[in-house]
Amino acid sequence: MTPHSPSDRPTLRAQARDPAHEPWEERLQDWLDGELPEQDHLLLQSHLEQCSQCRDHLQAWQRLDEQLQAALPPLTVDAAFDARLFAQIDGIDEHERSQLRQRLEHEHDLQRQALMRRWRRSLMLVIPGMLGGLAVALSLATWMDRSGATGALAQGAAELSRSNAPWAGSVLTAMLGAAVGAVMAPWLARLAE
Amino acid sequence: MAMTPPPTTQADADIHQRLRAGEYREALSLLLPRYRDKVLRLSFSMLHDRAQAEDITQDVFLRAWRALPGYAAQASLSTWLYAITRNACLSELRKRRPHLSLDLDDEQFQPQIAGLAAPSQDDSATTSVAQLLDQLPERYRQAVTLFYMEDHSYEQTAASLGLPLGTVKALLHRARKRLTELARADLALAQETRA
Repeated sequence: MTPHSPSDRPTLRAQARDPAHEPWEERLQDWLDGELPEQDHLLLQSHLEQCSQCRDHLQAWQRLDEQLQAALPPLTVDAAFDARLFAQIDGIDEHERSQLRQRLEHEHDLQRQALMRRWRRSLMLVIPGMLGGLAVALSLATWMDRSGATGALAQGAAELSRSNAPWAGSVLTAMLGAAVGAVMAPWLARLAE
Repeated sequence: MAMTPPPTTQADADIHQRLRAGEYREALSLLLPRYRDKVLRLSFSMLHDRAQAEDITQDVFLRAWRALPGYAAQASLSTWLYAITRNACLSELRKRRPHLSLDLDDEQFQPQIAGLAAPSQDDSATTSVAQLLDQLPERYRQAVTLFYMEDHSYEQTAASLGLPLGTVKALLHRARKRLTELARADLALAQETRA
């Protein structure tokens, strides 16, 4: 069997098809492809001895088989295929890595800018809040002095200390501490954010 | 009798192991020698052009490389790879011939019309088997091309085309009959011309 060139074109001689021979044609093709069960070989052989039409079919298909094998040799990729592919993959990887790096840098910049904005906003709230609180405290102290509330409180405190009730001082201190804490907690929470 | 898994499954166990370990480059290095020629042959059987088939083969493995991290092992590696190949070839064919149906079946086949589309490269009285092959319906031609390139393996041809084994066998048998019919018609025409 040799490969043929366009200038050496083979001629295929085909036979007329007879529906009664279809099952035998199937068996013949199975036999050609090595797919006919062993037990059917003798059956096919004895049929071929009697049937000239099937013998002609077999001859034509064997010739066709040889011609197709010659016309369709197994293709293989060239030796440099793997090297070319991996070079391309490396190129893609480097490009993807560079894109990923740029994306991460951009995300980092965005996060830094967002943090700065949050700090600025926090300071803008804390400083006026502290000044406002101071002003309110001074106003309250002045009002208490003028209204005599400070004197009344001092007198009450003196009486408490005389009645030897240290628990009352502790309660007052705790209440004042809780009030200051309640005011300061939201500010601190916002600062922590 | 104990059933043994198909050879490709056994052979691909090492690739699956690499994939599970996230070693994609090593997995591809193992995949290439097993499947590059098969992918090339499948591409050639669909495109009928060696240069394009080689380009598609490279493209298929690039696609596979990108998709390997997401490969869920629901289908075997070979099935997955052949599906990528068939899709890549069909895209290429759509670009090339957007108006043609790619799935002519047995009933639609008309030798006279196919003969009109066949190449007429010379004036010789007889036609080469390659030219006769060009006159076959697409599915027959694919099956025949792959079957002979894959060393008469029904299993490999069926796996590559994603078709049941029985279908491949039927396509091959019909294709042989068609080829002999076409050869007979060609011979009769040559005799008429001489007369």
